Amino acid sequence: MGFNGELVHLGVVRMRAIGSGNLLTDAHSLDDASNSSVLPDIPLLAATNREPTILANFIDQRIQLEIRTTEIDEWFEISKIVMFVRPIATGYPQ
Amino acid sequence: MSNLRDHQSVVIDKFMGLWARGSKEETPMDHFQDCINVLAGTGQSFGTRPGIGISQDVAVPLEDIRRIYNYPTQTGNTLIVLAYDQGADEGSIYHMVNATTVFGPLLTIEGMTDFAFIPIAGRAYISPFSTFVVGGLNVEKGLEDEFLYVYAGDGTPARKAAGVPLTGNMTIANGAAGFTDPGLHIFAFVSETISGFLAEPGLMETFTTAASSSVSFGSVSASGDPNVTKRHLVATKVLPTFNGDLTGYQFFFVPNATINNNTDLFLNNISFFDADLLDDASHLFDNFSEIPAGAVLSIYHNRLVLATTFDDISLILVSAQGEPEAISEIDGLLVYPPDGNPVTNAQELRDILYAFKRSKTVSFTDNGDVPSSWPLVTVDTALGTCVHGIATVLDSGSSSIDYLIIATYQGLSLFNGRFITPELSWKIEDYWKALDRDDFRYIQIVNAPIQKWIIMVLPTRMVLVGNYSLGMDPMKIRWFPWSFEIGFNTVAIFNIDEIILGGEL
Amino acid sequence: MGTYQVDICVSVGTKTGEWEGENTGADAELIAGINNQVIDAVLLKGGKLHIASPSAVGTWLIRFGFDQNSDIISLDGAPHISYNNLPAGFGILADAVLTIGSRGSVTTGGSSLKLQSGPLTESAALPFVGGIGANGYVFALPVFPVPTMLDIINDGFGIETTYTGATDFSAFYFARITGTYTTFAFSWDMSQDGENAAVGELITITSEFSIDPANSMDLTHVTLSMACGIIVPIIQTTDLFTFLVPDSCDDAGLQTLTATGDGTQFSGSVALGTLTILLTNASGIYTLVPGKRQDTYYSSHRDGTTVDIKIPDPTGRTGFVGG
Repeated sequence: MGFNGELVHLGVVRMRAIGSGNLLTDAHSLDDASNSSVLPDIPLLAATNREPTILANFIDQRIQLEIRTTEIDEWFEISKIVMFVRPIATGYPQ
Repeated sequence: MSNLRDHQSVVIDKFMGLWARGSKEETPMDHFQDCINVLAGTGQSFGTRPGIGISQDVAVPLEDIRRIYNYPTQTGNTLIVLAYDQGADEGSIYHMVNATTVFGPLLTIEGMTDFAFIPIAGRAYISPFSTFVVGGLNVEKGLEDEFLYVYAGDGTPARKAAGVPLTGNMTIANGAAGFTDPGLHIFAFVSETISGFLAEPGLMETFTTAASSSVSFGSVSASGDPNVTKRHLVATKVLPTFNGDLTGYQFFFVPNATINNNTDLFLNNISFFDADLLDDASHLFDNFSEIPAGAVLSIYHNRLVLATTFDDISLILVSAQGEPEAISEIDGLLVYPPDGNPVTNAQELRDILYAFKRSKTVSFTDNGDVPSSWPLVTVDTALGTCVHGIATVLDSGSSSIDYLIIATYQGLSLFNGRFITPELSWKIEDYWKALDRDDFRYIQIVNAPIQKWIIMVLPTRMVLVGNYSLGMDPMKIRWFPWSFEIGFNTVAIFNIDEIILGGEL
Repeated sequence: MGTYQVDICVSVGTKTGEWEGENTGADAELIAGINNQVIDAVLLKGGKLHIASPSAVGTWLIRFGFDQNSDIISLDGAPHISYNNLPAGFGILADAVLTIGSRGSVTTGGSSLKLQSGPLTESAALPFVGGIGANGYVFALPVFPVPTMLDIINDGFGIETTYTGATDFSAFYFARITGTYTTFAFSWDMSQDGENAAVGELITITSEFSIDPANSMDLTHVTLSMACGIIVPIIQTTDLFTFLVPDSCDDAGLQTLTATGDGTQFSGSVALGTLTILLTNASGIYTLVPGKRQDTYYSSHRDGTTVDIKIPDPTGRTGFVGG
C-alpha cells in the first residue's frame, strides 16, 4: 500500500499475542512530543484462540505502534500485528 | 488483504529485530525502529527476553566481575574469573569450578584490570594487562614488571611461567666401571617444572672423563622453585680445546640421566658415548626465564603466542612447538610493523596466524622454521579489532572453525581470510557506530551455535544479541539490544549452552 | 498553623434517585452544583443539585469524590493546590467540619450528610452543629477516628436525603471541608548523595521540638513507615529518629516516608518525603535462564540472598505506516 504524505487514520490494531499480564500499546507519530496516544491495554493469556483487537483512532501522516509490558513476571510473545489504516485527508492544513 | 470499515490492513508477521540505519522512518515494517529486552521467539515471532539468575550458590558470591573465560580442565568445564577491587586497584583471579566451589584468589596483582588467558593441556596461562593512555590513545598492554603466569587448575596459586636455572657448585668424579669418550666435557643440569618447562643449563662444571669409568655427580642443588620435578643432566661432546666460556659450546641431553625429583643431591654412575648425544639443549640458553606479561594470548600450531608487552606493543612472542613456556628471546619473535598502535589480538584460522591491531590485519605463516623467519603478509590496512573482539565458540575457548566473527570499527564482520562485506551488523550500522571507539576494549563476544545467537557485551555495558537462526547473513540476522539493572563487562559460555554474564554495578 | 478548605469535588460516585444539576443529570452539572460556593444563591435550580422529581418518596443518596492530583485544597485563602503538593509534615487537627448549603422544604430534618470511609461505605450521619448564612448547614466530621487529609481526599463524602411527601424538595450546594492544619517542622538526611538510598543505609530525621514545640514534630510520638518494609528505630528521641533502610526495601524504587502520630501531638499520617531505594551492589556472575520471567540479582547484603526485579520494560516499536 503506498502513501504519499496523506493523513492516515489508524482505526484498529489486532494482534496474535500470548503471555501473561497486560500488553500496553501506544501509537506514535514521527515526533512523539507533538502527537502520541495511549491505546487500550491488551490482557494476555498463555494460550488463547482469540486475536485481541483494540480501537486506536489515531491520525497522523506517519504512525508507529509501540508494544510493551511494565510489571514483574509479565511476558509476551507476538507472532502477528495487523494495523488497519485508511488515508483520510491529503495533509495538514497549511 | 482484509478491510475493516474501508481500512486496509498492514500486516506485520515477521519481526526481524532492530533496524538502526538511516532516519527512523526508513525502518522497514518487518523491523523495529527501536526495541529493548525482546528477542526472536520460535519461528519469526518476538517476545520478552529470558531473565537472568544467579550463578553462584554460596554465602559470599564474587563481586565486581571484570572478565570471565571458559576454562576447560582435565576433569570438566569451569570458569576463570577476574574480580577487580576499584578501591584497592587490585585485580584478583578466581577459578569457579561450579556453583558452589570457587578456588582463589589464585593471583592478586595491583593494577590488573583485565587479563589474557589461554588453556593448554588443562593448565591456565594468565597474562595481566591494563589500559594505558599513550599519546591520547588507549593502549591495552601487559603490566610493567609483570609476567605470564601458569595455574595448574587444582586450586593452588598461580605461579610465574618459565623459570630460572639451577645455581650452586656441583662436584664431579669418576664413578664405577663404565664408559665415556675420554676427554674434557662441560656438564650441567637442566631443571624441569611440573608444566614441562626446561630451564637453561645451570651448575656448569668442566670434567675430564676416563674411557672406562662412568661419571658421578654430587652436590647437585635442588631448585628453589617447588614446582621443579626433575633435573636432567646435559653435557657437551669432548672439547678438543676450551676457551673458558662455559656457555659457548653445544650441550646435549644425556640419555637416562635424570634425577626424578627436586630433593636428591646426587646422580651416580652415568655412562654415555658422544654418539649418544643427539637431543640438543643449547637452545635453552636463549629462552626467557620469565616471560613478560602481554595483552594477547593465543595458540598457533601448538605454540603459545603472546603479544603486546609493556615495553614493546608491536612485538609478538611465539613459543617452541609443544612447549608453551619455552620462548626464545632470539628467534621466537614476530615483529608487527610498528606504527604507534598496539597489537590487540591474534588468532589462527585455516593454518594461518592472523594478528590484529585496531585498524590493521596481517598474517604470519609457519614455514617450518623458527618464528622469526615466518613471512608477514598484510591482509587489511583499514580493519582490525580490539582485545576481546573475536568471538569465541561454545565453551571451547577457541574461535570459529572456518570463519571468525570480529568486531571492527566498521561493524561486526565475518572474516575468512578477509573481512566480508557487508558486515553482519549492516542493519544496525548507526547503532554500532554510536559506540565509543575508545571503549572497544569492553567488547567481548561469544557465538552460541546451539541457540544460534551471537552475544556481545558492549562499551555501554549493555548486551547485544544477534539471532542467526534464519542464517548467518547481514539481512537475515536479527539484532536485539538488552538492558539490565547492572552493567555487564563480560560474557562466556559454560557447559555447552549456558550463557554466563559477569558485571559490576 | 493555618486554615484549609477543600471545596472542589472532582467526581460523582454512586447515586440513587434522579439527581439533577442546573439542567440535566450529567456528572459535570452535579459537580458544578455541589462546588458552587455562593452561599446565598437565590434560584433553586441555578448552580445546585437536587432530586429531579420532587414528588419521589424515598431515601436518595449521592456520593462525591476528590483526588490527590487536582488542585482542590486552599491553605489560608491561597490558590488551590493538590494533595500531592501539600507541604511535608502537613497534618489536620481534630476540628474539621463539613459544611453544605441547602435550600428547600427538606433540610436538616430530612437530610443528612455522611462522610465516606471508602468509596462505597459511609459513616453514620454527621452531627449538625449549626447554620451558616441563610441556608448553610454545618456538620462536624467524626471525632474518632479522626480522619487524615488523605482519608478525606481518598474517601470523599455523601449526601442522603429522605422525601416523605409529594412536595418534599431540597437542593444542595456550597460543599466544603474546612479546619485547622499545622505543619510540623523536621529535617532528614541520608549518608548517600541525593535521594537515592540503599539497604542498610542510615536515615536520620531531626526536629527542633525541644526548642520550638509548637511548630516542630515530636519524634517520640510518631511511627515511621514505608510501603516496602517495617522501619525499626535505632534512636528515637523528641528531636532525633534514626533507622536503617530495611532489607525488604532492596531496589524498592520510589518510596514515601510517612510519619503516623499516636494522637499526642497529631493523629493520622503525614508524608515526610520520598526517597528512592536502589539495588546497590548486585555485581557478580549471572546465568541466562530460558523461560525466566524476571531477573534475579544478588542482594546488596552479599549474603547469599537474592532479589527479583522485573525485566526492564520489554518494548518494541514498529516501523512507520504512512508517508
